[in-house]
Parts: sequence; structure tokens; C-alpha cells
Amino acid sequence: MSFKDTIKLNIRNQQFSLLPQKALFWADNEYLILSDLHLGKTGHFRKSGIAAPGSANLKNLDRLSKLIDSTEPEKLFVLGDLFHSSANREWFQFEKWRQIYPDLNILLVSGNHDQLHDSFYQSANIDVTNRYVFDDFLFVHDSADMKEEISRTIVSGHIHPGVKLKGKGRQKLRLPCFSVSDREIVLPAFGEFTGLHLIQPGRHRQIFPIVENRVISLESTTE
Amino acid sequence: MYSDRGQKIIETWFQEKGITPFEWQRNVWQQIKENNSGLLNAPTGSGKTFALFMPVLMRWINEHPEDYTDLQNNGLQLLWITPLRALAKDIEQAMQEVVDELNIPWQIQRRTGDVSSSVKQKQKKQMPEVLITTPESLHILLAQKGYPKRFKNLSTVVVDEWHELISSKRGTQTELGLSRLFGMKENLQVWGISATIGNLEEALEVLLGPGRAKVGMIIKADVQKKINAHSILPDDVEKFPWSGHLGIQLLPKILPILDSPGSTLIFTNTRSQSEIWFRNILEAKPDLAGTIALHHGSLSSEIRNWVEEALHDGTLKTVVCTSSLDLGVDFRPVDKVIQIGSPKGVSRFMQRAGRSGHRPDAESNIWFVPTNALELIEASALKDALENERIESRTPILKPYDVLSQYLVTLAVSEGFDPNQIYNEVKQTFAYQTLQDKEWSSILDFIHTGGSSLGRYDDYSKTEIDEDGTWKVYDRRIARRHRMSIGTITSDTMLSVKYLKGSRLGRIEEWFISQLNIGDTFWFAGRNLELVQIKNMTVYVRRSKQKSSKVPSWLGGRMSLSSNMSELLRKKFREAAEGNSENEELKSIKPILDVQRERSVIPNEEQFLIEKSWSKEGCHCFFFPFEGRYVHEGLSALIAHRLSKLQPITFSIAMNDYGFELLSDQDIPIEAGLKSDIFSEDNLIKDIMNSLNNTELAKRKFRGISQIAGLVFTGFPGNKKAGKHLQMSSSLFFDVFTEHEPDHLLLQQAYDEVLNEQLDEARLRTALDRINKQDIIFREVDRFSPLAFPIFVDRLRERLSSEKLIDRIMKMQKELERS
Repeated sequence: MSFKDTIKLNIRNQQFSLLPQKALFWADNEYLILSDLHLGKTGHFRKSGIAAPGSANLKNLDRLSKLIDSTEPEKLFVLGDLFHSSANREWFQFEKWRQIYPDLNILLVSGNHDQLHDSFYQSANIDVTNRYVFDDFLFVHDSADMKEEISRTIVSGHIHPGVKLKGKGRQKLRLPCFSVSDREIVLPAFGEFTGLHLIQPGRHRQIFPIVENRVISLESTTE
Repeated sequence: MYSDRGQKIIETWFQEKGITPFEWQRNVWQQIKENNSGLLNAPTGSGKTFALFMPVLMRWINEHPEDYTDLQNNGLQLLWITPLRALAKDIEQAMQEVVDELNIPWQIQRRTGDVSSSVKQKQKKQMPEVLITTPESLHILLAQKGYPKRFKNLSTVVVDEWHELISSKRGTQTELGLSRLFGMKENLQVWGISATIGNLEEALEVLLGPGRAKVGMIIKADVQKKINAHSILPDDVEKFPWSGHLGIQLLPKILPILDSPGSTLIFTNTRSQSEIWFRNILEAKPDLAGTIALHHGSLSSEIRNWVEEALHDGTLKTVVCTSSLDLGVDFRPVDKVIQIGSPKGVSRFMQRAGRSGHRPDAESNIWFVPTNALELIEASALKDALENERIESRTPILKPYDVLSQYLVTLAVSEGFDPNQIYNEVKQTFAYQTLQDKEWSSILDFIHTGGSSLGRYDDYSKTEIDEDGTWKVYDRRIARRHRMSIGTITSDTMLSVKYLKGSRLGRIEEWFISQLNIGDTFWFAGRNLELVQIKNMTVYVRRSKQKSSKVPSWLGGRMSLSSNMSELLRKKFREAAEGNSENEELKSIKPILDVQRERSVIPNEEQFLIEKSWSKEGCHCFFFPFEGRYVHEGLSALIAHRLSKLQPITFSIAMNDYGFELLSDQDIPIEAGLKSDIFSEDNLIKDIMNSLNNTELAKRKFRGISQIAGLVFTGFPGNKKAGKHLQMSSSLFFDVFTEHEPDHLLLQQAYDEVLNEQLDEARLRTALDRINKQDIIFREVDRFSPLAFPIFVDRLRERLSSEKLIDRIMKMQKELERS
């Protein structure tokens, strides 16, 4: 299995692929890692009388299926914000979808939005934890919670990272991106209907924007 | 002479006051007595309130000749709608004086955002005889349970400053509110008051609906006011900037005007300009402190009210303001008006001039302060316009879906509505006369099922239909949120600015604050403030002794040249081109016109000028249609798009009222473009729709639309956290709708608004038509000309590209690596 338009990185002697589908693939273990799906967000709005299009949620699940089909992972990690808010009927769409991959192990590392009662996760056969350690890597929703961690590389989401590029003739673009350094890997938000929070490229981290189904590398500062 | 008791009593009252009613006022009284509806065309300070209020009293006296001084708690008789809360207070006071002196125990009250909740509660139980309110507050009344009984005795509605309302969605809101009132009382009497505009007949139609307007009257108050317009000329025009919006160098020249007897209003075009001028005037003349104040839309109502009172009673001699004080109040004497920067339109200029010499027969004096050299040409054009009375029309808004959907939910939240009945009422308004069944169904669908339904996976809940077919909102939280969102016909995230100890100063746009750190100082509301804390959508500040240079700017729309002004301007350039004008403004800027002639050409009316030049930024092409910024937005996108079809190229676009610029990192194929007919009217819509700009423009329009339609919720006041999970930017909604529901009516509305209002399709076609008849003058220039320079430095730029996105990024990369 190989991917065009991805970027392969070696971090702490492990092979990672940054996928344009807004996910991370840990090749050595065949783990598929993503974050911030915010399923049920449109449902939450609709319940409150705001007519966000419900088909956005279905698209999330559709994209997820395609990604799982092409990567065939051993395990799926969701680094938080799986479901947007209090329960609504879009959860049942997810439960139905879950049955397509009965043998896929799904671990949710819970985030600030994950407020559903345990029974929901149990009935969808999802393991839940608030942090997960594997070798040199620490999986968590929001890396700001892990300031005391100094030895492991933190893999997280939460901030919905994006980058603004400027060019000659005052051109400007806003793109979702990965942020990678020795200390941490921050994933872009997977979900439809999620916004972007702009981050600055810096000396200690590399930015990998996603554009037109390709992940590209920004070597230098762009300000 | 007096045909009835009511009129006799009122005429006597006038006599005792030493006022002689005008002939046109008596005309209006007669119309009202005959139960006609119509439009009164009267400028500010003309006694329009008396014209419409008195006959309502006359009628009351005639209906109750014996006991009109005793009858109390009679329910609402007269509804007075005004666009600005500030005016409501004045009108309330004026009317209260009258009924007090006539011993008529009527209650005159306001119902606007700043009225206390205890008063509002009392009104629920007992409505005053006269209610002065805004269009939004009328809708809030319609959103209350039991509203029909509150309007039971209503006989007359007056809509003040109709020319102001007519071209905005608040005007549409007024039309809808009136349609419901007409629905409750078929022969309701409705009068509008409007300043002079180019389309008074149409304004009548918009007010009453096309059907009722057929029997409506237009009465003109023949108040002639002589306007003396003076231009402030720079001493040394060589040192006067070619571009800019501030004009501070000319400040010393207005100080003598401020010193002279009488009060002065200084109008600026933007809020930041008003803040900057205010501060600079105080620095130049500190002894003015205490008699000079600031007034603009982002200041708190407490501050604005104080300024209005103080101006009224003579405590203040000078007020620096924006269009916030554009609307006139009858009894405010102001003696002089100074206009900073071009007012961009003849009507606006005349209206502002009319604020001075406030008694109906006095002369008006207005001074014009140019903020850059080219504005002197506009000043000259304005003077011509004044002489020839070329007044702009105000174009009404057609069929906005968002306002209608908000209105339907308003009715659903209170009494519920019958779709057939409301459809009939709405179709009789001007705005929705062409509403089709299909569109109506879409809107009903939007509020009932929220678009495409997902069946059992869908939680959508808003309006529901009960057993007898009435549409209602049952969910209390949704109802509450809706009531709070009525009146969201403004956008941009605003933060409240408050002193630590509590008193409010006003509001500031979030993006400005986001650039500041704790401890930074900035200038706002006429004082230096230090940023202490930001919490819960509020910025806490304290006074700072430090002088600060940061002045907030607001993203509120820039005004653009009206088509009248454009035409006049082009004529002026012909005069300038001929080089022998006696006109003092043109003479004063002769050195700059000479530079334009040297480096390029001064275009006359039959010529269309295009300038091409190179800089380290790349290749620049300047085009000068003189059609105003908004038309240039469309024209520039059109031309850029058509040029980009000739080869892969990326443009950055800038514009002002005189022209626009295309900038690219490669040579712009303008000669090839001219050969391929880039100014053709063919495929106009298609080409505009295809230009990238269009999405950005539509996104911006969508911001306001999504707020009105209730998609975007800014949180409960005082409890922002409760709405946190429901907050989503309109931009994201736009993207999501574009991908999943591209036919969504609100998306369509956004694109329509861009075409009709912003790009002004009609005007664009006229411009293209004219350009096709002109001679194209193409010049390669070495240095930017005075006409080009202001466009070049404009900070707001658009982008358009036909290159593949990925290639553009790669290019950007390489450029940065090289630099």
C-alpha cells in the first residue's frame, strides 16, 4: 500500500505518513490516527433550530470509510472530539456505520467535547481513555494539558491547525495543516463543518499544509 | 376657515405659540382628515412632526369633543416608526409637550432597545396612545404573545426618515411589519416622511405596497434652503497628498470656523476618522475641551444621548460625528457644518448641509475639507450638483429571503401564523410582489424542516404545525433565541468596551482588539485607554495618561461614488483636461493636473484611460472608469477573469472610486486583451460568476444573511458560554452549504445580492456600454500618475487566479526562498 501525495516522516525511528485525507498513518503498527471529527455537530445545530445541512455528517462517515478501506489499519485512534456535544440522532448514524467494521479496534482519547455517557461508547464498541502511551509516543487530545511531559513525543489534535500563506502580488491562502516537531505532532481536524485556527510556522516546527489532495511541505517561514 | 373643533383648538394653540402653520402642513392635515395615506416630502427641520402629529390629535378631539381632556388609557392610537433610537427621544419630548399643553391625557412612550424593561413590561399590559419605535422593535412587539389586542385601536402609522430605511433591509422589515398591521386593519392610515430623493413615487409604492400606493398622495413641503458651499483649499498643493482619507493637514484652517459664533457639526466618513479628528482638534486647541464632543455609532448609547442633549441645550459647541448624526431632528439648531472628505453623493451632501441654519428659512453653510488632492475635483462637481439639484434615487431591496424567514419565525413565536393568510399579506408588499410559490415553499421548508431531511436521523426543530394548520414555535429556548436575534441587521463580531468600574464606552471590532496585548493603549471614544482584560466578549479598560497612536478602525462599508457623482466627475475631468478652468478648486490643484498630463493623460469624457507600468512588485495595469468603488469591484473581476483566459496568470486587484488596478508578477497581456474585446457586454453574468472574487463577495454578503436568518447565534448577553457549542462562523456555513446544499436559498440570496447590490449589474452594464463607445487611450508610464497612485496604495486587495493552486504555492515558496 503506497500513497501518492503524502509526506513520509521518520520520527523517533518510526515511520509516519501524513495523509491528505487529514489523518496520520503509523506504518510500523498500521495505526490510523485522526482527530476532531465533531460528528453530530450539524445534528446539534439542527436540534436547536439552526438548519446546518445534515448531509455533512454523512460525508464524514463516508470519508472515514474510504480512508479505512484504503489503509486497512489494525487500529483506529481518534484523538478527541469524536462527537460534538450532547447526544442527538446523528449518533445513530455513527452506530450504524460502526457495524460496517466490526473487527476494527477503535480507541477514543477523549477531548473537551466528548461528553456522552459511557453507555453510548459501550454500545458502539469504542474504548475510551483520556491519555494513551505507546513507546515514545503519548496520545492526547490537547497537548496543552501535557506540559509536564518531556520525554515522549505528544500526538494531539484540538486546535484545528491551519496556516495562512502569502505571496507576491499580495496573494493569500488559508489551508488546514499538520504541525510536526520532535516534541509534538498536531493533526488537522478531520471533520466537515469544523473551522481553522491559524498557527505560525516557527523555527522548531514544520508545517505541512494540505492542498488539493496533496500534503506539501513548507520549509521556511512564510511571513 | 376652521372646519372642525379639533382643527380650531390646534390652530389656537399655534397662534398662542406665535407659529404660523405652512400651507403644505395644512395640506397634510386635510389629507389625514380624508383618511388618505401617502408620503410627505419634507427636509430636516421643516416641521414635519407637527404636520403629521397634529391631525391625529385633531381627529381625537373631533371624535370625543366633550371628554377628550378626560379619556385615559385609550390603547395605541398612533405608531411612529423611526430608524434611529436617538431621534425617538426627541420626538417623544416634542409630542409630550404638545399633549401636556393641550390637556390631552395621552401617554407618549418609546419602545426601543434602551428603554427600561419595567416600561416594556407595563406596555404589555397597557399600550400608550403614541408609541415611538424602530422597525426591529415593531417586530419584537409582533413576537410577543397577544400582540393583536395591543394594536386593536391603532388608526395611524407614521414612518419617519423613509428615504433612509428604504434602501436597507430594515426598510423591508418595515414593509413586512406594516403588512401585518394592514392585515389586522384593512383601512389603516400610513404616512411616510422622506427627504428629497430621485424616486419619490417609487418610495410611496415601497411604503404602501403597489396596490395601496395607487390611491396614495405625495405632498411636497416647498421649503427652499439656500446652501452656501465653500471648499477649504490647501495653501501649498505640492505638499498636499495625492491619496489619503484623513486631511489632517487642513485642520488649522477649520479652527477659525469652530471659533466663530454658533454650533458646528463636523462630519467624517468613518468612525476612526472621527476619533482621529477629535483628538487632533483637542491637541491643537485644548481650550475647546468641554465644548467639543464625539458622536458615532460604536459609542454607547449613554455617551451618544449625553452628546445629543448637550448639543441641544447649548453646552456643546462642536460635535465631530459620522452618519450617526445624519438623520435630522426637528428642533436641533446647528449653525455650521463641516464635511471632511468627499460625501460621495449629492443627497448626502445636501442633507448634511441642510443640518445647518436649522430654522426652516435660514441659509445653510457647509465647508468641504478635501482629504487628498483629487477630492477637490469632487468638491467642484458637488457644487455643480447643488446648483442643478441632481439628487440620487434610493433603490429598494427586492425579495430578501432572510428577512422574510426571520419575520415568519417572529409570527410563529407569538401567535402562530396561517401560511395562506400571511402569503397574501406579504405578496401585497413592494419587496415581495414577485414572490413565487416555489420561493415561498422553500422558505417554509427552511423554517419547518431545515432543508433536506434525513428522516429518523434528523433532530431539526423550529416551527411546527398544529391541528388547525397554524405554524408555531413551541420550543421556549428557540423562541427566546429568536427574539434576541431580531434586529441583527448588522454584522461583524463586536466586543463591548467598558471601564473596570463598569460604565460602558461603546463597541469595537474584535479583530482590532486581537492585535493588542494587555497593557497596550489605544484611543477610543475620545480618550486614551489602556487594555486591562478581555473576558466574556467584553474589553475592560482604564484611562491612560500615555499617548497612544492606535486608533481602531471599523470594517463598516466604505461609501462609493453615486452614479450621479460619477457622471459629474467625468464632466469635471473634461474641464480639467481643457486646462483653462476658472473654477477655484481646479485652479488650486493645477500642479497635480500638470503631473498627470506629464506622466500620462487627463482623460476627457470621450476617452477611457489605461496605464501600464512596472515596479519591483510586478506589472501594474490601471483602468479609470470613474464609476465608484463597488462598480469597479465587478468591472475589475470581469476584466481580470477575461484576461486570465488568455494565459495562466494571477492578479491582485485594488480599486477606489476613480479606477482599479490589476497587479501581477508577470506581464499583463493588455494589448491582446483589448483585441479580444474584454469590455464586451456579452456573457457578462457568466463571466462575473466565474471569477474567483465572486465567492469572496458572496461570503461577505452571507455574513449578514446568516445572522438575519438565525443561522449564526452570538450567544445570550451575559451568558456567552451557554451558546458556545452553537457558534459557527458564517464563512463555514457558506462552505458547508456550497458543498452539500448548493441550491440553498440563502446562498442564492448572497450571490444575488452581490450581483444586484454590490456589483450593481445594471450600472455595470451601463459602464461597459459607455466604455465601448469611448476611445481607449493606452499609455505605458514610468512612474505612477496622480490618478494611479491612490489605487496602488490602497490596502484592501482582492485576488484572482487562473493558475492551478498548487503551482501558485510552489511559486510562493520559491519567491520566499529567493528573498
